[in-house]
This record gives sequence, C-alpha cells and structure tokens, in this order.
Amino acid sequence: MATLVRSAVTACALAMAMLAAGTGSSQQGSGLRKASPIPDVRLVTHEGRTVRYHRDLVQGRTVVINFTFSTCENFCPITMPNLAQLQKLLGDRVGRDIHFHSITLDPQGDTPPLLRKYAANLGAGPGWTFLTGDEAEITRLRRRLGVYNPDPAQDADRTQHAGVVVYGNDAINRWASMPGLIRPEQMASAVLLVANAAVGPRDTR
Amino acid sequence: MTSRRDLLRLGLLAGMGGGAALLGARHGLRPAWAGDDLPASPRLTPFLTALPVPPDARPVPAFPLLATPTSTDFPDGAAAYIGGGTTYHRIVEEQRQVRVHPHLPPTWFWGYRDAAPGAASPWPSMFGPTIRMRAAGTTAGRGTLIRVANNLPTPANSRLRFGLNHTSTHFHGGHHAALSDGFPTNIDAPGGARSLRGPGEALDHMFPMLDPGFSHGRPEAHERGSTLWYHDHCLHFTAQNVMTGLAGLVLVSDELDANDENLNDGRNLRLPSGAFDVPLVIQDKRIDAGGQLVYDALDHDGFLGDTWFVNGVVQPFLEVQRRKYRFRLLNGSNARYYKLYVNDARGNTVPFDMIANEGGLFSRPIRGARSFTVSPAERIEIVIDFRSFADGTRLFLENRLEQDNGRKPEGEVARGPQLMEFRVRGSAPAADPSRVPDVLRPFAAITAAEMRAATRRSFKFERNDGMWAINGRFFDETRPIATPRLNGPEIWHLDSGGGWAHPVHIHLEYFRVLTRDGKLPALHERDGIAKKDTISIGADFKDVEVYINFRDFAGAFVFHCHNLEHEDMDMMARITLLR
Repeated sequence: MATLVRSAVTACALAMAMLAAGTGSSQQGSGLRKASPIPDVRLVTHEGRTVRYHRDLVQGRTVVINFTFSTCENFCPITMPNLAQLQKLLGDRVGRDIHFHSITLDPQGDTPPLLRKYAANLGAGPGWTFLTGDEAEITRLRRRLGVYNPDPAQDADRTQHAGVVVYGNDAINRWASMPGLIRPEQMASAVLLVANAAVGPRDTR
Repeated sequence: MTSRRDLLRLGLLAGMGGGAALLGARHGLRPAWAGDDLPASPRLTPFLTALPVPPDARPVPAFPLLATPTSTDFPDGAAAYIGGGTTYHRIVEEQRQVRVHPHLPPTWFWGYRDAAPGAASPWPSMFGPTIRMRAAGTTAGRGTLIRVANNLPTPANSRLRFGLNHTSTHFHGGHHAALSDGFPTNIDAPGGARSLRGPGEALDHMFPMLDPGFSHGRPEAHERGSTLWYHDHCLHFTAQNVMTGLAGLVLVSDELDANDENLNDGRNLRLPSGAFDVPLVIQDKRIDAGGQLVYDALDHDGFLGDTWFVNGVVQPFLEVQRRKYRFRLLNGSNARYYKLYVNDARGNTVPFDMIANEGGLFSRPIRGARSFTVSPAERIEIVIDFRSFADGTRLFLENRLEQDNGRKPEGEVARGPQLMEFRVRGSAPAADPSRVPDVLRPFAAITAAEMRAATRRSFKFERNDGMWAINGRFFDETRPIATPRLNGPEIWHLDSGGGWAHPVHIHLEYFRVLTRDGKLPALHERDGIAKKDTISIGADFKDVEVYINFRDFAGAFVFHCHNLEHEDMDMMARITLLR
C-alpha cells in the first residue's frame, strides 16, 4: 500500500515536472509568440479581394477595428468621421504599420462596390480597408472581438455594435477597446501607445 | 440539467478549488464569445500554502526629487510637502516569478518591489511592499514620498501574454495632490507634468498625510484612512495590468490606531496588532496547466476567475492562536463580488466585530456580524475572537455569492467556495491584551442644514451599446464632467441603468452614504458610522446618494466604475477641482 502511494506520488511529481518543463519552453518570449486572439475568418475587401482576416490583414500590425454599415444612423455618423480624423492625426503611419479595418454589420446590403463608395465618402486612404463577407463569419469575428451584447435580442440588433473600436498591436499581442465616440486626439494617443510599445520606452505624446 | 447554482445550493461544490463547472456554465451561455476560449484552471488541492503577508516597505535615505513641472491639470508637485520628517521609499515595477501553489511551477507576474537596500530579493510576493504611513495631523513635512520606477519588460521579454508596460500608479483611498494620484493618461502640454510612465521612467508620488481640510483651517482627523491600496491605472489597460499583479497595500496608523496592542496611553484603542493584524487581499484569477496567468483583453463585461487567491497564493491556510485577530480584507478582484462568511466545515457561521471599511475605522464596532458583501476595491476590517475554539478547529472564509458573468452577482447560495482556512492552535486561550472598545473613531453625521447647502449633481452609470458610459459620456481626459469648488460640499446621486452592477470609486475624498434607494443604508455604510471611497450600485440597490466635500488639492482627478473592464471601456469621468 505504502509503495503504491509512493509510486503514485512519484508519477504525479513526474507529471508535474514534465508539465513545468513543457510550459517553461513554451513560455519563452510568450508575449510575442502566443497565438493571436484574432480569428482567421474569410472576408472580402472593398476592392473585391478575398482575404483570411488575421493572416492577410492583422498579422504583425497595429490595427484599429470597428463594425459599421453604410446605412447606419446611430453611432456611425459620429464614429466614422472620428476615425477619419484619427487617420489624419496618425498621418503616414496609416498604411505603414497602423491599419484601419471597418467591417460591415450588413453583409447582404454592403457589397464591395457600395463599401468602395462609403470609403471614398469618408476620405479613407490606402491604409483603411472596408470588409464584408459571410454573415456567420462576421458574427464570429465580432463576438471574438468582444463586440456583443449578452442579451440575445440586443445582440441580434446590428445598431447596437457600431460604437466600439477595438485596437491592438498584433506584433506584441496587446489588445484593448475604446468607444468610437471619444475625441480623436485621445484615440490617437491610445493607439500610438500600443503601436510604439514594441520599439521603445517612450510615450510619443 | 443541474446548473452550477443548483450544485452550490446543494453544497456539492463547497470547498472546490475552482470552476470547471463555472466555465461550463459560461460556455453554455455564450459559445465562442470573447473570453470563452480561456482554459479552465487546473483543479488544485486547497489549504497547502501558509498565508503569506507582503513584507513592509523599508524607508530609504532622502533623495533629490525628479524635475516635475506643474501644470493647470496638476498644480501641486511633490516638493511643496517635503520636510525634515518626510519618509522616503523607492518602489520598482518589475517582472518576477512567485510560487502560488506547491503543485504548480512558479507563476510569472508583473509587480511592485521594494527597492530599498536590504529589502527581500527576489521579492517573495505577488503583491508589492506594504507601505505603512503615519497620519501627520496638521504638521507639514511629515508625509511619505514614494518614487515609483517602471522597470517592466519590453514586449519581447514579457512572460505574460497581456498587460501594457506603461503605468500610472493610483494610491486608492489617499488624500493627496493630483499628480501623485495616478491620472490615467498624460494630458499636459509638452514639457509639462506627466503621470504615465514607460520603462525606464519614474515618478515621485507625495503623500502629505495631512488631515483633510488642513488648507481651509478645518482639519478633520476623523477622515483618516486605515487600509488603502495602490494599483496601476493606465487608461484602457488597468484591468489587465492589475491582473498581472501590479497592486499593493498602504496601511495608515495614528494615535488611535497605533499598531501596538500593548500601548496603553489612554488614546490608543489597542486593536489587535503585529502578527495578529493580518491583511487579506482576495482575488479571482485564471491559470493554465503550467500555472501561468491567462486573461482575455477583448472581453469587457468584467473578468471572472475560477481560482481563489488570497494574498497572492491559491487558497492558503493560517494558523491562529486562541485570541483576537484583526483582518483587513480587500476585494482586489477585477469584477467579482463576494459575500463572505467565516464558518466551520458544516457551514455553521462564526460571529465577528466589523470595525472599519475603506473610509477608515467606524465610529463604533458593529458587533456580532456574520457576513458582509464586498464589491471590487471595497475593504472591510473585522476582528474575530478564536479564544473559545478547541485546538485543531478548522474554520473557513467562505464566499456564498454566486456570479457567472460581469453583469452582476446572481445571488446568495447555501454554500460556496472556501477561500482560505483558519487552523486554531493552542490547548488554552492565549494572552490577549487587545481590545475592541465600544467607541472607535467617532464623527458627526452630516446635518440637514449641511445637506440643504450642498450642490447637487446626478450621474447615471449605464451600458451604452456595448460600451460603458456616465451620463451618456465616455472618459474624456481633457473635458471635466464637473468642476466642483474646493470646500464646497456636494451631494451626488449615483444611479445605475440597465441591470448591470457598478462599484463606483471617487478619488481624493471619502464620502458619506446618505440613502440607498431612498432609504437608510446598512450600518457598515451609513453616515455617522462609516465613510467610503467605493460604493456599489446596480447589484442590491439601484441608486445611492452620497455627500462629498473635495478639499485641499486642486486639478484633475477622476471617478469611475471599479469593475476594471468597465473602467477600461471608458466608464470614467474627469473632474477638475477649482480653488
């Protein structure tokens, strides 16, 4: 009996040690290497290009993501011009290391040509991609990004999801969110903080 | 289908280390939504680790202040309150490993460390050093100066998968200048005062420890705090940075609460002290099979863990002698509420005296209490007398509040998880010079005339299309939601909308709770007995009226929801206090 207990304890300790060793190696530089939380859903850009969202548009970049639709009348009239202003404030970094993604909540209505027009109206530059696609894929992405309402009826109402801006730096796997209704200057300093966190100690304000 | 709640009612989960069941319930509610692919923590045998207490910070020799320009937002630098009696500390933010359970490999944290010569190295606790401060009354130059230096790793060297290495340290519950308070962003003009630090940067925080009202000739010694804490306050990253471990305690003493139960000078209350005065910081966390912290930065309903930590380790035990103990309990969780009991294994509850909350000592003890609820950032201090328990008796700190998501607690259940164990030791009662007198720190309740003279404001805390708003507004670093005048008392009506719970924290001053849903509040919150710096709305009560008088320090401060995920989605407002 004593032997049994002892061997059980040994086995347990061994398992623990293996666990520790295994984790130790995978923890090496985990802040960088851990898989991104952004799912690799299939989407279509306003230019009609089919993309894998994480692989093609997010990987290694600082991204500013929101959900919208071209006929949205709730928050979009504030959020979208705010993002256009944010684009101006971030200057030539948009399209270089910082990228904007506006994903439609109305994939039936918002075809790539319609999104192209929407983008042009907002003065979106080359670093700002508008995306449509399969509704289920978009819903999956939206919920994974934390843009949802736990109440199913409210979650089904697309007008409820147009205010949140998710931002992060995929190269260092750091993510946060903010309302798209705050001052663009405050959004800019928030985005720059994560965009610059990889390279140095300085807040660029 | 039996729910976790049913199981809890049946007592089947009592004492369980964590929450495979809890995770199941969450998955059932919201498949594949943010936060739901976090792994369930491993099941861990409870009560294997002796309760650690974070060591005290050691004073260091005086050092010259950093050049810190002042601005209209931050009018007072540290220099104004320095004197011959100032105590200096150096604290460093760093990455380190601490063992949280004997069956797990060490866990990586970010935390504060005492950088004084001779301080423990490596630092043994997840928590930073406990900073002990003595109230200075009205004598300037006797406060505490703390230099907090950011030595956090670059992302490439981070062992944590979350947390931003830019920090702003908030000293929660303190009465001090705006620049020392930990404002969440840098709002100054170029070259001006900055509150946010990156790696390699430091800021001097000054705590004058002068009695509130000192600059108006009406110092009020009864406004002194007791158990305060410090934690990170970086905009949009507070929740993850606190989860990394960036937190510590500040304990305040004075002639009434002298930290010495043997001192019988006619003023000292002689509350249990030394080894019999024990802080208990309660947190829920989630860890992977390798013992490393996990967190989902994209889930902003409010983080809930499935593993119970007290003072930075999993479900510890504490051997207690047969005498009185003072426990200073802080809910250091991001979003979880607790209703705590002390009971034996069968659930029989033990009475205790409640003596203080986050606003300091009560005017009188609340005798014979059996439970209390703490929302995030709230503190409660209790005195338990173990004298009459036999040697070997096992008692538990048990949480009987069920909570499945960040919305609000579900309600009380018959039995809940046991956060820690008390093991009674001794064949006879131990010597016990400590006391809990019938009068602690008396003060007068706000009068009807004072209420009539107060400026009234109303703030509604509600979910606004997936974000968190105050009066329909989100945090704006430059535009104040209100500009109260110093020494101009106000009554704030704090209201919750939409069925979510919000623990509201107002910086700089303690407030008095006048009404709860229009009725008299419970004793441990009621004006005349208690003062507070954090108050929950939307859980048991819809709204609350509080009386607050901002004093002494002008400039930019904030109030916010202390569900840290709600705070990070901008349920915060700037106030500018005017002279």
